[in-house]
Amino acid sequence: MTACAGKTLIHCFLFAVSVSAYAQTKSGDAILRNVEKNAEGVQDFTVTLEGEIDMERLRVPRTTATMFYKKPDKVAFDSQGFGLVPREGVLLNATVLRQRYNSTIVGDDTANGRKVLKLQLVAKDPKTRLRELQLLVDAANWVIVRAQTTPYEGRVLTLEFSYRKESETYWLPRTMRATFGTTVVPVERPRLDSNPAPAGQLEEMQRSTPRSGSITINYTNYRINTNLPDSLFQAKEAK
Amino acid sequence: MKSAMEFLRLLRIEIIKTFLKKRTYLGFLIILLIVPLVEIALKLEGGRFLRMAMRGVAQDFILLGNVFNGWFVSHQIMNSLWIQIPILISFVAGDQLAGEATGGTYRLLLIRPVSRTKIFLAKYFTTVLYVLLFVTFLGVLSVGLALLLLGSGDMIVLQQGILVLAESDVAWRFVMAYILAAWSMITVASIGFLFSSFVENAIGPIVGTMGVIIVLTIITVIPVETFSGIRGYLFTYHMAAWQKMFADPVPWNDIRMSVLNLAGYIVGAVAAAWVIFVRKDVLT
Repeated sequence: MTACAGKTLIHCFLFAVSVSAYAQTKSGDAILRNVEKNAEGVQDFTVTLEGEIDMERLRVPRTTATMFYKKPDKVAFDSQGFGLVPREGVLLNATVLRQRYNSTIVGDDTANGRKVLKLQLVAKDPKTRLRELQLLVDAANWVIVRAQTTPYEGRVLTLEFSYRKESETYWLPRTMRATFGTTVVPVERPRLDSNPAPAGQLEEMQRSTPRSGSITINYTNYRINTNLPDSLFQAKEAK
Repeated sequence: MKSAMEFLRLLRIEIIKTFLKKRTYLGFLIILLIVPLVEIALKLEGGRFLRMAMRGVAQDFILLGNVFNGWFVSHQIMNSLWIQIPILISFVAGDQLAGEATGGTYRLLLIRPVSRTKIFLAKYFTTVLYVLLFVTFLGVLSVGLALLLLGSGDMIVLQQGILVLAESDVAWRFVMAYILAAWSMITVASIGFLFSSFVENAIGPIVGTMGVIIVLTIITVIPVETFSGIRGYLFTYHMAAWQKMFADPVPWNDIRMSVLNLAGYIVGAVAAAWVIFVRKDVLT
């Protein structure tokens, strides 16, 4: 009898845990759905990106590029001069996140005086470049205000977004600040103060320590739903 | 006035003599072969070298724009050739005075009713003219062809990190870099000219100039504390001042120091060569 009651209790506990986990996953998914709905009417857009880079051992003048986006996940860039765009986070697409990640609510917090929900995302496919993501979602406007991930060993990437309402309907990014942190201790290499050795390139190539720093991107001049052709993205990919 | 005309006539004669010699064109020919060869090879390779150099940045960023362009390649060519060009310069500079001895024309030249100083200066200015033409030829060919083959754009400088210079900020830096490179090569030519003044064979000054450059370059670049005190006084240290034109901001004070240091070597070498030349005994 006692053994039977114990088994029942364990079953009940396991059931409760399963239900709770399911509920959390579903809730995480529901939050991403809300984020997705926020820009549901956006079929495509073109936006100008103005980037200011502050990275160690990297000095770049203010860069300007154009980003093209088309549903569901087509993205292309164009730039007249040299431009750097972070590989991750320029466009955190909730549809793609929902498709590729299992999401769980891990709590709530406040960011910039607003209530935010913390989500933990784990990639469904282990081969996905970003295996895990932590998101903070503004529950008032259903926008991702912060994301943190480890794109590769030794690198910690933090993305912070601010938004503005475009076409009086869609909350789209106004600024994005990507902060590149490192968990690797940089190795100091002895070097001469002299300039004649033309070996700077080799030294640069041999450096493996990731740079620390940040890039701030301003999103301006949105042109929404202009019916961008698919060829635009094919041409950019081939470039 | 008469004296000036006499000097100009001497200068003209020396220029004609120099540019009638086949060895004068050897450097131009080598540059004409090597620069297009390297630039076409780099174009065919499609920027693999730059991609390797930028792979650390490419881990975090998507690179946009034409980064593998003519400016980048021209800068790489300058970086690659700056140690070889002195050999080509010394071919001509080393031959200016010693060539007369080798050809047996020293006595004939120096018994003319013209001052030795004028002859000396005519030969030296001819050497300087050769250097200026040579560096200009290298610059025009290297930059012109690279821009033609690979187009223009912002320039990436791989030196103590990665620096990107805006396209509009690059051309004047190249002009200044080539002016500084010419100043460095005039220093080399002056040293070759000095060696040329006290030997009878043109091979000696060429080998001597290169020997001095190689030894001093090793002392300049080798990371040994013993040499740190003298490094700043060596002309090989200052010969690379042109590289500083691609820093941001441009360290003008350092460049001024290098220009003055090289000027010291030029004046010293030319003055010593002059003393040897005017005292040269051609009668015994």
